[in-house]
Amino acid sequence: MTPDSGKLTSQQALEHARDLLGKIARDLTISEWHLVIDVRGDDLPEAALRLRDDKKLSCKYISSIIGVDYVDWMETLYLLRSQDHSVPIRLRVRLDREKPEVPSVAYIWSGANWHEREAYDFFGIKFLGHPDLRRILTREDYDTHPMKKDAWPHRVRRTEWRWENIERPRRLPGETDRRDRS
Amino acid sequence: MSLLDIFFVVGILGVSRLVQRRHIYPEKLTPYECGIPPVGDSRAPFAVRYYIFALLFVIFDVEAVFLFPWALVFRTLGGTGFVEMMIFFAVLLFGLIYAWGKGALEWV
Amino acid sequence: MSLIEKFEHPNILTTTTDRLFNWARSNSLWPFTYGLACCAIEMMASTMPRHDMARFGMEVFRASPRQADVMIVSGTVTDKMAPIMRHLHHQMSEPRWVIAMGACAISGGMFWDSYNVVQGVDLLIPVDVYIPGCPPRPEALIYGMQQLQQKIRQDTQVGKAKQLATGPMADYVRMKPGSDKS
Repeated sequence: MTPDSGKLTSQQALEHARDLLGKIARDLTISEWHLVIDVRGDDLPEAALRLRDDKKLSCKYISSIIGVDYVDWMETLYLLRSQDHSVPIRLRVRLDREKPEVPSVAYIWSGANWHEREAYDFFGIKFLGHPDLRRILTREDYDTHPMKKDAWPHRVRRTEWRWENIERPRRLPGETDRRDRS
Repeated sequence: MSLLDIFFVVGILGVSRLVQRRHIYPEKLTPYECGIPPVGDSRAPFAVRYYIFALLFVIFDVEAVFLFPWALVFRTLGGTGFVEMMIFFAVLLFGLIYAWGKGALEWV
Repeated sequence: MSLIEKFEHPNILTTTTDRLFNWARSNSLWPFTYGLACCAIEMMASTMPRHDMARFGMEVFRASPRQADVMIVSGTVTDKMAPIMRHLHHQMSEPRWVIAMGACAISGGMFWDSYNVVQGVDLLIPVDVYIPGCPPRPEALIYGMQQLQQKIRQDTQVGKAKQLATGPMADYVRMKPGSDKS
């Protein structure tokens, strides 16, 4: 992917985003032709909505949601792409490590649903307002968040599989049948 | 002739029953749903638009059941039998043309 | 139980039937498409014209465990997948065999210290042939299938009734239907 493919350069995107977001964007930088926007967690849905609905930036595609655990703080990174231009936009939200909570953008982009579930699964980041926040890649009754820096190696529970302790796959108490019957 | 058929069927199934390995337990009998506990009802609602195909199939299948024995006794029935069967065939053919014209044969 | 299995020792009546059944079973092994990860690509490649597995009688890959003979566990088995794999293995009809293909299926592979990976499928189901490699080449998979064929040809039907009644599956045989409802 070339940095400037003619429709919109990173610098133009930066200027436009600065005008668009105003005070919401705490900091805008360009890093390797990606436009990196720092926002606060409370302003995230507003910023996401504006970026999605804008005519020029139109970030309709949420490419991925990445959870990062720096030792002192945690971060959620939203990688947004667009079909109209080729400037990837990163929304960075800095989170407190003891209480990592951020509003969910699952209502803005449907694809964010599972990305947020994965970030919750591995880091324990709670997405407020998520329609169905539960584990997605680890076992249903897993208790730790494996990718946190202090979860490895001694607090991660390894499953000791033996012939005897294998059970049939069970439905956990409280888990309902979420199959769509349409 | 039918004794031979019965003998074949019973013989093959019987020999299979004698030499097969039967090991049935409850977990093996669970319905297959890719390894997870089955969800939902196994009786799914059936689209009613397929009813017309089932109906046409039954009608023409019964017609075939009538046509096959006629093929065996074709010579003994002679000309009269031929005309009668052609009337029978024509009645059903008109039914098919009607269904065709009504669009019942369009696959939805 | 069948007639042949009621015999205690192999005798003159059973040698020919054993040879017949083993010949039939070994030359028409129907694999169960249990491709989980990268080894599945090599499994697919071994069915393609260059390394053709169909010439050994294994072209009919069944998607349902009820119609399959041999379960080729190709790929990493995670903790989430483990009870599902065990359930599918139980839903296969006897006679059934298992091939552990690739390092992840044999012993956890490169995920030897992982929080979410079963350290070898032989902790869960009985394995007949292990095929090392990461991934094993299609020729290696075909060689492994041929080893399984040789193993089947040495098999005997005699005494299987007793083996099934007292082996690791004995509890299942004596269980009443419905008593293991969760």
